[in-house]
Amino acid sequence: MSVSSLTCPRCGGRLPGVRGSALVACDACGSPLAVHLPGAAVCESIRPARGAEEAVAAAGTFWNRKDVPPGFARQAAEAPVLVFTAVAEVHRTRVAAGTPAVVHESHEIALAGVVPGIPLEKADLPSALEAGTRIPFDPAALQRSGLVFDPVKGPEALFPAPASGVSLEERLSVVYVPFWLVRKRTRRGFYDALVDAGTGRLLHARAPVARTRRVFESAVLIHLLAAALALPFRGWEAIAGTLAHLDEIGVIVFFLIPAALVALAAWSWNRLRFRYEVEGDASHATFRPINKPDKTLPERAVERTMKVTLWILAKIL
Amino acid sequence: MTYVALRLCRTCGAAVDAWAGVAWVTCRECPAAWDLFTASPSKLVTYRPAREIVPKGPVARLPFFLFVKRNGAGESVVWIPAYRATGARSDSDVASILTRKGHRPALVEAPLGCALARGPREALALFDAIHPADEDGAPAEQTLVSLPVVLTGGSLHEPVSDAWIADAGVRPPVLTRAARS
Repeated sequence: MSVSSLTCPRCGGRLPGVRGSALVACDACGSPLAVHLPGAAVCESIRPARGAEEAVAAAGTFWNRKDVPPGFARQAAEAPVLVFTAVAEVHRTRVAAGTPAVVHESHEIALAGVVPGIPLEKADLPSALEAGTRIPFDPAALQRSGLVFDPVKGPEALFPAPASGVSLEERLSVVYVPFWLVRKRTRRGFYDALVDAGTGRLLHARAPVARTRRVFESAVLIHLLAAALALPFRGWEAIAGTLAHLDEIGVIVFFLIPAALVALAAWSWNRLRFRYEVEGDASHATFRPINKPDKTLPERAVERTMKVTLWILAKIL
Repeated sequence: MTYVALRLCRTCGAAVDAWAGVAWVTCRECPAAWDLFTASPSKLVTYRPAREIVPKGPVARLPFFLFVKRNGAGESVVWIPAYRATGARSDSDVASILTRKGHRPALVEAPLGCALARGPREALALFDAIHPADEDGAPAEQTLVSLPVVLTGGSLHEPVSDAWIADAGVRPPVLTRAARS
């Protein structure tokens, strides 16, 4: 059956874009229609319940944090973009192996579409699918209202039949879930926020971190390092005396002090060397260094110092 | 095989409740369920219990296939859900409790009031899987019935079995129908 040849039984009008089983209305005469293509995935979309202003307001809750530069917080966001991405789901009715026979109903969800640069894996898909109002999939209408990202893998590939048991029924579907993508452009790049267009919940956002925070941290770290380095000159006799009384533990501490100082220096270096940004959602946020390699030079130094320290301690003790 | 059909009742012309991907639809106005995708649409008469226990609260309906098998002097009843509930097990769901209770209400013809997640053929396959055929192999009589459920918080409560189901996991969703009633 070629889906391109589907027509309305009342007026003969074509049903363009219908790819699978769906509840649709005829474009020509408005008749309510049911399309049933056994074996093909059901295509639906979720009606965006939140508007662009609500999306900007949700993003603003994150962008107006205390640790974000005030200039960035004041800056107006670009016009939000509505993004529809494909989510695959399967409802299965399975008879588990064994006696007596027990039938299980299962429901699985997976992201089927990939949108470059948008961390959709952070979205709470089950909630988005539960809360949203499902409407028949109308590709033309979706394209008119936003960017549509089709599935990279179909539900058949994402949810292979389980190895054990017998599958009695299977309902595969592709649901196009709407998200608002809100962006602020700065000199250094852009910062985006992803808002669930069904519930209005902020799913993920990024923002620069104010430099004032780093100045304070720098001052504390410099004082801490200076104090740690100055200590052996001022009170080395007292320290050595104390450590000598501790026997083996004293020796361990004596050799661990340089490693701890190097670790502190490495942490300070990472904190001061890299520009940070804050990322998170409505409930939590984490700080992340930008362009930081897996291991910086000071971090490698910490590793080597620890290795040498442990080697010395193993030889001595 | 027809692939596109009007979502209208073939008897009264009223709108039907349907779930995409399921061939069977139910009329909102008359006691009929239809498979609109056969060459000549197949019909099933739908029923509700003559007397319903309905506690206070927003009411929705859940569809079931009631299998009645006569053997000798008596008869046995088996309830098979015509909806799907995520995570449900056939040994502990509403239908299994109704089956264990031997619930056999007097029925009257009435609109079902909900869409179906499976048709009679799928229900029969489920029936055969859960209750393997008896030695006599006599076919069971199959009736499409809906029972009222009360929406309480995020759960649906079926008063006869006194069982609860998470509303969010029920397919087709019944919340809209509860809100409508």
